Amino acid sequence: MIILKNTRKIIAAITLFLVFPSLQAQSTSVEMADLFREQGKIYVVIAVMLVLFAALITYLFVVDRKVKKLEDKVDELDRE
Amino acid sequence: MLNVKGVWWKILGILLVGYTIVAGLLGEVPRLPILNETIRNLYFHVTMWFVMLILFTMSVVSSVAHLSTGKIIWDIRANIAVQVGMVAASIGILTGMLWANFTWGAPWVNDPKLNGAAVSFLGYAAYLVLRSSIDDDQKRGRISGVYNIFAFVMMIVFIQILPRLTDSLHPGNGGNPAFSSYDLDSNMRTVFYPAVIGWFLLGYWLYSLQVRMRKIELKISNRVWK
Repeated sequence: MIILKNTRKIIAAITLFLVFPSLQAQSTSVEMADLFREQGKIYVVIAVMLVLFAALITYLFVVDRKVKKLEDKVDELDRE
Repeated sequence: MLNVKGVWWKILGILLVGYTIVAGLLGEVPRLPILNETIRNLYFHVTMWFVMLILFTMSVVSSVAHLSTGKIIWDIRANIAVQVGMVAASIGILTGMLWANFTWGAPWVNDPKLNGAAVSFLGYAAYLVLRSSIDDDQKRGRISGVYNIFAFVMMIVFIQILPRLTDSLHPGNGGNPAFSSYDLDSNMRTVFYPAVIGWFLLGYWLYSLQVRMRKIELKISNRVWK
């Protein structure tokens, strides 16, 4: 009986060791850019993208203003 | 420099897209095999298709308005909404091919959603060609307006209905769950929906610029100032 109890314990321990690491591995085995994020360099990329975006938007505002001027000019000619 | 009146929605669009760039790259995303970090493409690739859908809907409404009122400006609005929508669709196709190359193994797979998108794209390209090939204003408006309704219905069938009836690699099609379960958790929603609104506002900005320029063009051609 004692041997049987021990075997059960051993089997339980083995299964625990076998199952738990694999469960843990399953939740973290999906590769993500964790290290990259830890190093903080991702902020640089975001900054670059924001600069790019800001430049495009600024240009869009310039075009917008130009169109506004044209509209005003046409309205002025219309009134004459 | 800027007139505050009428500029608020442009600022809103800029802020929302800016937020998307930051939160889209830094925010928490579900850890999924195969997709890995590319799941963040959802904030940018899928957004383009949503923007295209909104713009094409605007276009078909404008076409109906033109057909019922006969006003040229509605035909111009329909045309430009399609133009900007096609820009969004082109970006959607290109980014989709890039994404598919790394997750599905090839830039173009024989998927009903992809082929449907290609067919709709060609359908709208035909609209632009058809419209530019007619010289008479009224005729152009009526013929392209009727065709636009047809193109819109075909687009909805090819992109939204057929892929849902058959198997598709795209989430939300052929029994795949869409935004409800694993695909878009509540974290991602807080980035995705602002992205759609932000990019639509920027698209609407481009659209409004073009419409204003066409209005100027119309005024000039209607009366010649000496």
